[in-house]
Amino acid sequence: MPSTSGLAPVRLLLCALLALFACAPAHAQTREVTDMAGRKVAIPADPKRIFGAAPPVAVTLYAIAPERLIGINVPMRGDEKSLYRKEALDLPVLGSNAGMGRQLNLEEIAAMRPDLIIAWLGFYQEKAKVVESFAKIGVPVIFLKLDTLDDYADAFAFLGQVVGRESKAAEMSAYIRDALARVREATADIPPAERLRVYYAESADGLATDCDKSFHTEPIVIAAGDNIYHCEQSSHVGMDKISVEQIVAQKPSLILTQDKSFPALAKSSALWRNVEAVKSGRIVTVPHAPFNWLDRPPSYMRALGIQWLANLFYPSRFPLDVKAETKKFYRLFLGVDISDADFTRIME
Amino acid sequence: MRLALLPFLLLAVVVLALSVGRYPLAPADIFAYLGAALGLVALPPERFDLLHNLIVEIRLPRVLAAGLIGAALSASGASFQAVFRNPLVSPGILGVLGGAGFGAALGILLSGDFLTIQLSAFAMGLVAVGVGVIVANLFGAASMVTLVLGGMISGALFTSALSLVKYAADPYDQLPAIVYWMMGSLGAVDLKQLRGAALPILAGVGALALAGRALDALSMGDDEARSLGVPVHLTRYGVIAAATLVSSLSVSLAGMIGWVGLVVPHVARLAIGPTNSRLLPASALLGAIFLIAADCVARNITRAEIPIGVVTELLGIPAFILVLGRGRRAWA
Repeated sequence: MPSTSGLAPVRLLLCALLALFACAPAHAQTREVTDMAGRKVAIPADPKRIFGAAPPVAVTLYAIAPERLIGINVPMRGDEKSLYRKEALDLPVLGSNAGMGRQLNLEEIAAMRPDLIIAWLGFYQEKAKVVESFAKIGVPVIFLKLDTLDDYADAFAFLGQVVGRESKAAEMSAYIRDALARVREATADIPPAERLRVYYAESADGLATDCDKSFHTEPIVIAAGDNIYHCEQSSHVGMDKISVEQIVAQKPSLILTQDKSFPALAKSSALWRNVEAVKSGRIVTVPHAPFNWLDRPPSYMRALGIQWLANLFYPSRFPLDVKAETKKFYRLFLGVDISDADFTRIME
Repeated sequence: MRLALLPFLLLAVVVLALSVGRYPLAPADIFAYLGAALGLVALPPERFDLLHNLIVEIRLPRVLAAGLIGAALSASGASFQAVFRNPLVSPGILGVLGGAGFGAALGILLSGDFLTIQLSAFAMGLVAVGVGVIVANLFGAASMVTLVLGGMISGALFTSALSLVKYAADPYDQLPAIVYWMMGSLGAVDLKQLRGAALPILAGVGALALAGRALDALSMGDDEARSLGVPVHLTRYGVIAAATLVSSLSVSLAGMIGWVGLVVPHVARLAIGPTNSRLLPASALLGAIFLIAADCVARNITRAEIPIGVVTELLGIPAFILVLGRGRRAWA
C-alpha cells in the first residue's frame, strides 16, 4: 500500500490554490442592489468599468459617469465632436444587444474586463436571455427601465446609487421631474380639440411617421401636441408609411421633421403645397446634436425636448428662454458649456 | 386580338386609381373637377385648387409612376426571359436590384438627401450590371451561362456590400430609413421627378417592345438568327442595356418592388402566347395595369400604407401558382 505522505506537497499546493481562489472575490467588495426589473443582484461596491449594452443605457451612463464607460455602441458623428465630453471621445465602438445594426461580441466585451453590465429593459427582448448571455462571461447584469421620460428620472436615481453619485443623480432626476411637471401644468387645461395639430415627419421623403401612442412620439404628447397620426404602435422600429393625401386631410398646423433635407423638399414639391403647415411655412427640424432631442435614440434629452416643444406649440402658455435652458441642460447632463454659436448651430 | 383590349383596361384602371385615396373624395367631386377643368362647371377657386392638388398633383404622379414602373419591370423581365431562354429569370438576374439597393443605402448613410439617394440607387444599379458583364467577359467570350453567373456574382457582391452598409449605419435612424426605403413606395413621386424619369423609361420600354421580332429570331438559336440577318450580339446587349436602364430607374424611383418582372410576363404568355413581338408590348401593358392596381391596394386598405413590394409579392404568388398549373405548354 503506497504511503499518502508522497501526495502531501500536492495537497498543500491544491489547498493553497483553493485558498487563493476563495480569497479572490474578497478583494472586490460586493453589495446587493435591486435593479429596475426588480431583480436582486450582487454588484461591485464601486464599479469602475461599466458597459451599457444598448444606446439608451449608454447615453444615460454618459451623463452621470462618463469616465466609467468602457465603450460606446455606435460611432459618434464626426461633425459634432465639440459637443462630446472628452472622456468619451476615444472610446471603442463595441456594438449593442439591441437586436439591429452592430451586434456586440461577447469575447470582445470580456476582453475589456467590465465589472458591471447595464442592459436595457426593453419590451423587445427577453430579460432571461440577456442575463444568460452575460452570465457566460461572469459579469453581473442590472437592468434600466427607460420606457417613458418619467422612467428616466427613476433611472438616474438608481444609477446614482450604483456609481455612488447620489447628489448629482438627484439633481438630474429633479430636473426631469420638474420639467415634466411644468410642461404638464402649463398645458393640462388645453381641451383636446384646441391642441396644436402636429405631423411628425421622418425619413428623407417625409412620409414615414409614428403613432401618437408610440414611445417614439412621447414628447409630442407630453407637450400637448395632437400627433395627427392616431394609432397604436405596431412595431418596435416604427416608421409607418403614410400618404400625402392623409396628411392634407388631417390639416397639421406644424410639421416636426427629423430629416434636415425634408423642409426644402416640402417647400419645392407640389405634393406638399396644400398641407396646412407647409402653406404657413411651419416646418421645424428637431435638434440632434450631440443626441437627438426627441427620439432615435430616446433619451433624457426629451426633458429639454418637451420644454422646447411646449414653447414652440404654445409660446404664451409656456414662455421659455430656449437658449438659457439649453445651456443649463447641456451643462448639467452633457457636461459641456456651449457658446451662443454652438446654440445657433444646434438649432439650425 | 386580346392585346388590343389591354390599353382600354389600362385606361379603366387609371381612372379608378385616380378616384380612390385616403382623402375622402366622392365620385361627384371627381366629375366636378373634370367639369371645371374643361370649363363646363364653376367651382369655388379654393375647392378647385384642392381638387387639382389631390387629383393631378398627388394621385396622378403616383398612378403614372406605378404604370411606368410596372411596364418597365415587366418588359425587362420578359425580355430577360427571352434573352436567357429561361422562364425563371427576373429583372434582377444581372445584379441590378442588389446594386440599386446598395446605392440607396449608401446614399442614406452618406447624405440622406432624397435626390442623392435616388441618383445613387440608379447609378449603382448600372454599375452592378456593368460588373456582372465584366466578370462574365473575364474568361474569354461571354456565353449566356457566364453572363448569368457574372450577374449572380455581382448581385451577391452588392448584396453583401449592402449588409455592410447596414452594419455601419446608425441603428436608430439610418437603419430604419434603409429598411423603409427597401420596402418600396410610390408615395413620394411628384410630377417634377416623373418628368425626369418618364422619358427614359418610355424610350427603354418602347425599344424593348420593338426588339420583340429580333428576340423571336434569337429564340431559334444564334446561327439561325444570323442567317435571318439579325445582329445577335447587338440585339442581346442592346436588350440587356435597355432592360437594365429601365429597371434601375424604376428602383431609384420607388425602391424594391418584387415579383412583377417575373410573374407578369408569365400571365401575358398565358394570355397571348409566347411570340415575343406580341408578348413584350403585352407584358408592358399588363405590368402597368398590375402595379397600378397593387398600388391602389397598398395605399387604400389600411391607415398606414402597406409597402407596395409586399402587395406585389402577396398578389404575385397565387398568380404565379395559377400560371404554373395552367400554362406549362405556353413556355417557349
